[in-house]
Amino acid sequence: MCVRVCLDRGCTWVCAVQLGLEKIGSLTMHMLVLFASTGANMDLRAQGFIIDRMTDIFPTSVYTPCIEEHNIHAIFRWECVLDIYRDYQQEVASPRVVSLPSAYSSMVSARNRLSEPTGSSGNPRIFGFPDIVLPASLGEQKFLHNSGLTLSITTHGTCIYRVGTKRLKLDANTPIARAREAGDTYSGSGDDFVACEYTDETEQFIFDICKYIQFVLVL
Amino acid sequence: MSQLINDNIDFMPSEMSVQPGLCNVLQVHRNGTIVIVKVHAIHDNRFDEACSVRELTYSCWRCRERMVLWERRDCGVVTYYTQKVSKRRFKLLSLSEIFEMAMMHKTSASIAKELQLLARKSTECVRVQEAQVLLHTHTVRVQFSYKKCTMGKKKVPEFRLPKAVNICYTGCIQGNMRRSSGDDRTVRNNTRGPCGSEMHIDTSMGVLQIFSDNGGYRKITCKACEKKREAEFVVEYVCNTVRCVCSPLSCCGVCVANGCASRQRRIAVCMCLDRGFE
Repeated sequence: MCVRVCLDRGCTWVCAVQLGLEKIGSLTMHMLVLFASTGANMDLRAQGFIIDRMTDIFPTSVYTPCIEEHNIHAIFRWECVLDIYRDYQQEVASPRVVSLPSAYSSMVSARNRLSEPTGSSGNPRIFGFPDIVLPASLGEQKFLHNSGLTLSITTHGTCIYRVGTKRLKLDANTPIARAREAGDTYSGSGDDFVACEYTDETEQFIFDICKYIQFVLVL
Repeated sequence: MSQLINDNIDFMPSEMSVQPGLCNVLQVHRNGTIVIVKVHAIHDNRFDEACSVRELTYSCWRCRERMVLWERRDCGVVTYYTQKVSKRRFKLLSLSEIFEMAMMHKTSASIAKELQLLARKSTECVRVQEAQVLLHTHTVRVQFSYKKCTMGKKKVPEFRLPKAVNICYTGCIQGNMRRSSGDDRTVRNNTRGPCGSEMHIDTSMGVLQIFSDNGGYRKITCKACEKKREAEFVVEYVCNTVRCVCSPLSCCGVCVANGCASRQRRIAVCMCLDRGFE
């Protein structure tokens, strides 16, 4: 390794060697923020189009109405990211969002409304129905199970997706909680002891989930 | 069309089923205004989809018992109709109900004028807004959306896919990293970096915070990253690249690793030197 050192305050000597620190394990996400825009104004009235649609497509979401006077976003919350994936699977099985993909894509290419301007080839890429792959390992799925998503939408279409890991509250009746109360170590088996795992695939899964929500919002 | 929907959104359903090939009609009665939305799913090509809105005004004079004269104004074209209703119904019917019954015997202008003279002076008006929407034959429903803010001056941001702007990671490192005896400023002042970190390193790919030693292990956080790989690169870089062994007098320097480091990396190593890690 080539290291060049310049001193500017009268140091006598400085040398650089290996620091000798070592990373243990993999990094785990604890907060993730994505920014997006629908490119159109959003009807965020309590009985309006967006709320109707979101609660229809995502029945597990919890909606908090916006207070326009205070410029607060309308907020949708999911306790578990995997709930969205289940809604996605249901949508794939019996499509409601896109019943006419070919007609839709012809409309999109004509109006160029939903194209992504940052295509590497210079040509706009069509924002299609995302293909979401659930990570295979139990650890990753446990991580996703413990992660919640909050979506904020403004009337001007700005969307902020926030994914965070939640602190698990132990139910008093679980074997772990009972063992803790008794001061013992729980020696159970099964999913209780599967360690959470966060990989590139997990991260990509979260990105795809957010793209799917965006897809539902703009279509 | 947006204006029409915005003005009447509180009286309209959120969605309406569409039968292909038929004229699907939605009618809203509101304060002397009748809104009619006609949806036809007739086009085979989506490019032919269109909508049009026209406004009609109907005025009526109750000429004499059982006789109503209607005047229909459509973009300057005036047409007259007369209508006979039973005496009882004439008294009970509301204006909009009369309108629905109205039509369809044309009356010449001269007769209309004559009738107007015979009529009571007061007239009643019904404003009719009629929107016609022509859609693709595969359309199964339409939904009505409130878009009042489109009339505002604030520009709507362009469409943008979700993009990571801030991801924070937690991890752990181990190894010796003690301060040099000559640079004890941070110890003396008992100062800490953001969030109580012992070391804070800015890089072009995010911020790395290293927390205090806990039995040989140190918790680390990577903030403001955009990808896991980038955060891992920063951690690997800091762990594997540099350890600065400084003279007691050394305070600050600039170190360029590999000759191609960015400004942020120079700052990062500067901080290592400043704190005199050994």
